[in-house]
Amino acid sequence: MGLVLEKLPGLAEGVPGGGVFLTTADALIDWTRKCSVWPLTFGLACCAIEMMASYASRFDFDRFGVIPRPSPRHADVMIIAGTVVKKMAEPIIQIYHQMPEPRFVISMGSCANCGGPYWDSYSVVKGVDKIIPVDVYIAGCPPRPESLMYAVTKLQEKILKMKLSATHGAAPQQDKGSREIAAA
Amino acid sequence: MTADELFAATTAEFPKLEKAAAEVKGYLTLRLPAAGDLLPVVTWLKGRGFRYLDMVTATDYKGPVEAKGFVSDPNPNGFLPAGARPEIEVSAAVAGFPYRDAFEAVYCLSHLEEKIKIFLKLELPREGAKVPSLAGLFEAADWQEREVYDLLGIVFEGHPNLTKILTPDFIQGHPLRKDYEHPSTHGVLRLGLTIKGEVITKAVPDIGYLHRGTEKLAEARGYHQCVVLSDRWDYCAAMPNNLVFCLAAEKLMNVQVPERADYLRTIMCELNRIASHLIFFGTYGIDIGAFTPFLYAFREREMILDLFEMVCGARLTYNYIRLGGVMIDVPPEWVAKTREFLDFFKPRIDEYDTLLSFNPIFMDRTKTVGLISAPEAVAWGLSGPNLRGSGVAYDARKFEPYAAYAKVAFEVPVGETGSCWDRYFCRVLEMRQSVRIVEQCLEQMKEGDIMAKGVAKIPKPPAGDAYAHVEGARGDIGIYLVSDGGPSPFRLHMRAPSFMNLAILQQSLVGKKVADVVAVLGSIDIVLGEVDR
Repeated sequence: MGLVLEKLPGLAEGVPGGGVFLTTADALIDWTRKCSVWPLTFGLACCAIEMMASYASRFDFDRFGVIPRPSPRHADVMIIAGTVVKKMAEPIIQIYHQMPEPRFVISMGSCANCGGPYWDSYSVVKGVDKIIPVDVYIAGCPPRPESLMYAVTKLQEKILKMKLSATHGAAPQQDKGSREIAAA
Repeated sequence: MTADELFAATTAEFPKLEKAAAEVKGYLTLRLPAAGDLLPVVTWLKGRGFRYLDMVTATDYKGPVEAKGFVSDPNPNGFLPAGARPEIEVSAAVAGFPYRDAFEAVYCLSHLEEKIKIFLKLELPREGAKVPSLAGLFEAADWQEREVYDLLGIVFEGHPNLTKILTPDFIQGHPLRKDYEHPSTHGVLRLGLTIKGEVITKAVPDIGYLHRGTEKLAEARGYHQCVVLSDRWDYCAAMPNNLVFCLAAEKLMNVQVPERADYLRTIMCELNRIASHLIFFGTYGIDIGAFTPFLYAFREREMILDLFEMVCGARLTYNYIRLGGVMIDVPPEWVAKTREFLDFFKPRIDEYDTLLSFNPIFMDRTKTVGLISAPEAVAWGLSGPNLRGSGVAYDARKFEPYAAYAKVAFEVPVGETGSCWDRYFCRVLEMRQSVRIVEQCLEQMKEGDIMAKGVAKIPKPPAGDAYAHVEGARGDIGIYLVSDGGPSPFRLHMRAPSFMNLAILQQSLVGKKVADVVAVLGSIDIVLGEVDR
């Protein structure tokens, strides 16, 4: 209890007599969500190597509660680490819809943001945000593990601002991306 | 056997053959008069010991054309600021280059024991181009011919399964044709398995999930910009990619690289090989079910990445090896730091051996699994540790030494049975050899220039063909480069080792248990960026 009060300063109030505390459902749920952002083990290209490095010895993402999961059904966040090719676009949409809500997307690296070095290629989707909504973008080719770490903290800030009442329990996500692939 | 002897022997057997007008620099290049001559000549060569098919590719020699899409539209996605144009524009036709309405198919064969390569060129009409397939002679032709069919639309008659391989079905047309119109419309691999109970009866790898079209993009980039693209082929070991492209381009431009640059290139490639094999070591452990080696491997790998960061600022995509040399000399404290790392790293390899290599559980899972015999490995065109695991000591560093490899002593470790464990252990032994090479290079390297004089900012190499190949971390990376004298390559083809290594899964998985699929796939150590390009 002491830990909870410490972690939620100003939000929880101790009730005299002990054993009970009051807070808003939003604050509690957002806090728990924020502390276990589980990404999907899913790498597309070069950025995936930096993502692997983030999970490994030096950067140790487990510290943030970021533990990769092999199934989209268990995952909260999809890190699009690499170039999205037109052949891959359809599977990405399928995987995205298999994730339970609320679900989040981090677009890692220039390719996922806008096509990067392949901005004029015939087979590359120029930005993953053309097919699914994106929460956080990271610049870099590839971004360093520190950048990914920063992106996760940004996502956590975003999660802390979520409200149940605004969305009837679901996350403020659209079902489809704002733009079509064909618009490339 | 020298190239002249080979030429004399071949023309004695086939008097119609002659040397090609545009020869691949430094190699014997023969022109086949007609498609019907291909099979007899190749069969004869195979009988003479040319059992390794390096490369099958083709070039479209139609002149630069105004096609709608990415090349003619400088800003298709609003990515550049309004009014901006890319630095290198679509190359205009260069006077004097023989543009024509024709494809040219190019075959490269190797004699592994005699250490000689031969190139065959065959001119084909652009309409209805047809060639007899080599798939009956070399399994390695299977996927390479499918790739040429997919990207250029040449039909290989007699091919068992001539279907698209890299581009998805909804992309119409053949992207590497010069008049292709751009349609507006860690890698992923799909493995289709047909199983009977636990036993696999058919395996069909489905690739192309990372096909980024770099061979086409290179036709709209300058030579310096192509180095950037090369970084992202085999992103686990980018330095050898940089190097092989630069070697091919330097052959075209007749540039002599200074000695210090050669040493630096060798050091970087070997350090990168260690880093890449460490990724393999860590992830292969995970594939088999051992998590701890991953943490050990990445600890050491970060140290190598720190060394790379000190010289070029990047951790993964270096762009360090440039045309004519290297980007920048190493900082003064770098050599000491590298020695420190090597001293730290050498005992770690023994640690890996106790941790994983000779772990009884690991050996049980890999020692009798995924056997590939030496003749099979050669026929499928495997290279790198996958070929050497089967006992064939083919290594580009010994076959045709480049950079500073002729000046250092090292061994080429080979396996015995071609099992998963042999392939794995070859890589562990290679790490020891790489340490040896780096130590010798640090010892021998003298102060000096690091960049050749006279490499233009926008190089325009004289028209011609060149082929260069190096030993990357995954095998023999080859670059076939055609210049028409313009500012960007007329044709760039990469012989991707992972692409060739992966094809053998169609055969080697059949008859295996489902539980062994990951062990076999992991031991091949593919990088999808290189498979799909």
